[in-house]
Amino acid sequence: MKILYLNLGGCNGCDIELLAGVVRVVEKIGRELPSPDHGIRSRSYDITIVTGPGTLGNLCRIVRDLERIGGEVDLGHVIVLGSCACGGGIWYDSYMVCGGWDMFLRELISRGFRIRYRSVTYVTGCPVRPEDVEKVLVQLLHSYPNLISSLT
Amino acid sequence: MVIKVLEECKIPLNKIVKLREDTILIDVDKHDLRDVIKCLVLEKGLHFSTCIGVDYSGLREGELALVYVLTRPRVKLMLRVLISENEEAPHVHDILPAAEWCENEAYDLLGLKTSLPIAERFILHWGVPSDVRPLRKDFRHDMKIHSLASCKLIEKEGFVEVDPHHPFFYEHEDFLIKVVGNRIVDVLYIGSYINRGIEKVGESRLKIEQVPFIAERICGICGFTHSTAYCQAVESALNIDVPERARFERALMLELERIESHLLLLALIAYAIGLRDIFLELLRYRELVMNACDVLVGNRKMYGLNVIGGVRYGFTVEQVRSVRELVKKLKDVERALERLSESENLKKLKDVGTLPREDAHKLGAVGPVARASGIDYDVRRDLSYAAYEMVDFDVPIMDSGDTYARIIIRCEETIQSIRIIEQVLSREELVNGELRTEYYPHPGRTGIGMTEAPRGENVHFVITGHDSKLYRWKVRAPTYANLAVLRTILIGESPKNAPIIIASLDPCLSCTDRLVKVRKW
Repeated sequence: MKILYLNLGGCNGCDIELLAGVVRVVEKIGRELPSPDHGIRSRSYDITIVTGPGTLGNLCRIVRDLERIGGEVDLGHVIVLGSCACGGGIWYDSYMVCGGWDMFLRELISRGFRIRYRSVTYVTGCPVRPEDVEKVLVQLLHSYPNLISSLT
Repeated sequence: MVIKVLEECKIPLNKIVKLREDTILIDVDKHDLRDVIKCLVLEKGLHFSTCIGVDYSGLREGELALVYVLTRPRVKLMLRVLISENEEAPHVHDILPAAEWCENEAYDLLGLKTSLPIAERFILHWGVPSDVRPLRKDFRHDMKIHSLASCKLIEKEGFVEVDPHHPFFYEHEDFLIKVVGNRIVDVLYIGSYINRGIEKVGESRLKIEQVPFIAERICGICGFTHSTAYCQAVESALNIDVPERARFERALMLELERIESHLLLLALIAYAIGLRDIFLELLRYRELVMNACDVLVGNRKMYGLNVIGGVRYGFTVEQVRSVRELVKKLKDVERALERLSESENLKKLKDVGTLPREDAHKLGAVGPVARASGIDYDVRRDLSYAAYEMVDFDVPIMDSGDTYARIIIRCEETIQSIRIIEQVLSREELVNGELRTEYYPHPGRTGIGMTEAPRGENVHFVITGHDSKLYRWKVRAPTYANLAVLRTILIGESPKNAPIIIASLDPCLSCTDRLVKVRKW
């Protein structure tokens, strides 16, 4: 299983709660999750976890990553964590921020990149609570048994 | 005392304005600035905090200004240099390297004129057009500049990327090193990826009483210290006295946050040097602190407690009792920290990444980084705020300035923080008394608020504006000052030690990048 983890300019609050959540998931399913990529290095992923409102700097970083791999990527199941990533949060109209994952995707698509994904799950909260992260990840793994069987 | 120092540096007394008991504003002529800074910082040993570019066009005090902030025990000093639109801006960073980033930031975001050979863009280095100057008053905060960016890559030939982070904590930032043989010879830091434009949002969209909540969201690790510093800046500008109960509540939350932040760093260090059991143990103790915050404010992070003039709600006796139970369990962390500090793997970091005292002063290092190099400066003691005057604690100091010292300082600070929390929890004032003071937001007042964040001195500068909004808000997070020492501590070291040396600064990039930079020193 390949995991992509994109911090698009978050404040670290959600990222640390994500760790707390992942520790719970590992305890529950009894298998280790693989350590994720932090930038787009491959053309297809099974799970993509997104935090942060999508800053201009991170937009440029992802644009450079996508150019390097040929402009086409499959993100698999996308989990959008935290109020910022869901809709921009308190930064929604700042000049440096795209305003959440949807607007970030729109920016990428308007630049001619082809991005596919299978599902999007939004988890709100500022920051998200580890219980919620656990619930989402466990549900996702149970709904798609091929994901869990690819874990060692 | 401070007046005597100012006289010795030939500052005319009629130019000194005392804003508050501990805050002094001085209008300095552009041509005298270098001499004044040289005398005050390099000869008299005042600490240089930051400098701030201000567009005064909406307040009729002039056109543009640069404000330099210096501190010494119990006094905050602001040196203001007024400049007109077509005049060249002053600079002091050739004699005082600590000023380099903040001066360049002002040149970039305000468009001040300078004849220095600097890069065209320091912070907005994404190919943004040169007429975009976000901190000018005629720039709208909701202008979309994404479509204008060209995302071109910065030239970094011959550099190798260092990734000092734990696999699961990742903020994108480029630490690049150049290696010859087995030694680092050059360092490059490319930042500004996490710049969210917070200062502009705080100045334009939000009201003065809403800003504490966005200030808390600067950082997900040390957010409360930012909202406290902001509230203190406004309280200082508007001359508000905070009730004792609010001061104790703030001190309690600040110390819980410090423990949480230090334990996270120490856990990551333990992981990096191969002590996996201590890593897990420290994270378990950290969960206790998060639970204590959950009990007190109903959220594990982002407490939403601070408002200008006090706090939003009071803690009850039951809450305090259950936190006391948690702190009793937390006391055992001392044993884990002892095991960490006595491990052989950590002792290998002695004499690695050394920062001498003189360099630390010149580069403006703060917090545990400065204290590990023998600089005896702690905002909690020297510019006391919240309830720190009423509790008893020590400030650990070490002289060696190496990576080992920077880690040990944090272990000792964690133990001191537990000591402070125990004292605060036993005070009657924590559960009895007034919560907040009412105030009126007068326009045009200047104030400065400082706190000792887990990573060091944290500075918030405000000028209040009309319609109960802010006119100017500047945040100087501690990592902003501490990253300036990267070059000094990395050059000459072996590249395999680079991640742990960078980690020992505890860089918190979301704080730093709320507005930031790309720079080759």
